[in-house]
Amino acid sequence: MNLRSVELPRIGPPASLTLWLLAAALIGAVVHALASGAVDLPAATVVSALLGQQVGSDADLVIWTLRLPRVLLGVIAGAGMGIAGAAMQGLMRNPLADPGLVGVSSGAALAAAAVVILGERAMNTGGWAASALLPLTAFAGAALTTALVYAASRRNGRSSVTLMLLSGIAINALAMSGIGLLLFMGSDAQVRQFTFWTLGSLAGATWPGVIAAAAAVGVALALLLRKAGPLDALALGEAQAAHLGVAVGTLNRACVVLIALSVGATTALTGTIGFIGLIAPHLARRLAGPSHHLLLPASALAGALLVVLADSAARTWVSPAELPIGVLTALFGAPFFMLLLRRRAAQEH
Amino acid sequence: MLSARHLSVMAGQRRLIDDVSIDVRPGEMLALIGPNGAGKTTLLRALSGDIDAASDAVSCNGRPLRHIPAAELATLRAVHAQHQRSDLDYTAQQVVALGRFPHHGGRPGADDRAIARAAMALTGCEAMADRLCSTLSGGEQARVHLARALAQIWRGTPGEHFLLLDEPVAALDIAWQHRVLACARDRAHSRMTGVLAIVHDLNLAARYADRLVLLADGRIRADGAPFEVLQSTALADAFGLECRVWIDPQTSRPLLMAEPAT
Repeated sequence: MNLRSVELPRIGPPASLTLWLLAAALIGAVVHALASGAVDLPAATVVSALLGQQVGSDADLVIWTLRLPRVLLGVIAGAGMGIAGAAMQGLMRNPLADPGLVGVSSGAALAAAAVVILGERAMNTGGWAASALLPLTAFAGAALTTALVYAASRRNGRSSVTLMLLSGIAINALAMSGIGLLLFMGSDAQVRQFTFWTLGSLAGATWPGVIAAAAAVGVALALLLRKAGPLDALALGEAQAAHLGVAVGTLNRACVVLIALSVGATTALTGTIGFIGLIAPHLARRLAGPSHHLLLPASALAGALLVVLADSAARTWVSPAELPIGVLTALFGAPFFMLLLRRRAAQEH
Repeated sequence: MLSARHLSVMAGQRRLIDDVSIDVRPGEMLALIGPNGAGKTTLLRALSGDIDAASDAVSCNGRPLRHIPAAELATLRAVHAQHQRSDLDYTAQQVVALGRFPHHGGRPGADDRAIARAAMALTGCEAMADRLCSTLSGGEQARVHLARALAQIWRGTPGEHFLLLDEPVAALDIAWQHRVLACARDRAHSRMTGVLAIVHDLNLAARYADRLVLLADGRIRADGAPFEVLQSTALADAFGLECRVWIDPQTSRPLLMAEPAT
């Protein structure tokens, strides 16, 4: 036994420095995203504008009307997917869980596509009811698929990685065929919209959309952060968590609903941006450790950072054209997932 | 007192526990012994409050488990179950600190960390504090989880808290088998903890327990002091194995040696 091992570390912080670092990086990424685009603005101008100073009507228009809703939607969507991924991994005690991979995003997209194509008349009535219809339906679709995957992947009170991924494949295929069927019934314009659901985009960001997403993700975020302690206890197993006084059934149901709320609201407005719910928690776990008190907020920050960076890249790499953001995240996310699978296989043997 | 009265537990048509009445008394170390499939773990789970159907027949300090909220029960009894493995990368110290969850409900405070350290010292885990649980051996993990259970009821009201251990020494080397059972017995005697431990090694059970309960086919076959329960006829009935039993003059505890039929 060496001297170092006698010294016991503090539990939790100093890793909390991670949150400040991630927040600082996010602010930097947001300023960068606001400054870059078809018209490049100096970062100083962006900062002054954000602080409420007059920077000229053109720059004001570009920042406040064109870029800020889009960047904020990216922040909200990334935070929502990041924390949903972390919560899902905690809930299933399985670091490979991701709302996108297991079909939650597809379920939300299917429900949203159904509203767009079948509920055209309802959508056209306009007003708040119509704009709430889409996120609500996406939420319902997400909730249904989350509950389905959760139930399908459990065996003897434990969640099995294999069952989870296989049922995810089945659910994804089912949702895609559902979307395909809807397309068959839809008009040309609606078919074009289809790419939005599968590839994801922040281009449609509007202030009402941003506010709706912020409300839904904000509620999910606030309530999930309060589940940090119980999720830590759940890591020991369901029986052990129950011995520690955690109401496991209530916790499971609450997490399923909150994950669905976060993913559903996000998907309704951005389409499916894959792998953020997988990569962000892994990045956060590396920086902040496994304890959910830090992991959940760090995953939200990391998710927001990743989406803002990915969207900046999607807008500028092939400018003036624009890459679908989902293509970019999948390009990096899929190999990352393969890497995780390989590492896990190596651990098991 | 943690008690079961006329407890029966069914699994489909099979009766796992058949009309069992048992008391886990404060200040006493009780070892539950019996052959494989006797219902020992089921009985421990029923006493833990894991089995809803049993929560009327089991009472803790005079109140049926059904009427004790889970969060309150967690401050009254700690459970160390078999086969505890965690895939997530928590350090040993973080796992032990989780034992304090019923008391802090969220983040462990300085007091909880001090208790976690003290519990780890008792089961010899200090040197593993920073190591990831997933990298520990089975025996080391068992000691970490034992420390977690001890931390959970560290400041339990004397006479009103309980420690339920399912084969706490199964994965341990001989030295730690003795240390862990001595530790459990000392908690019972010095803190008025009611301890129930499932133990397969009858000599170890006889050495450290104040009282033995022999369970076979879901029924209690014998309940009493070690020298009363470890009778060769009772053991032959329960295990189907001839044993020679004598009293160790040094400890005054029974010792036994199996004599398998040849």
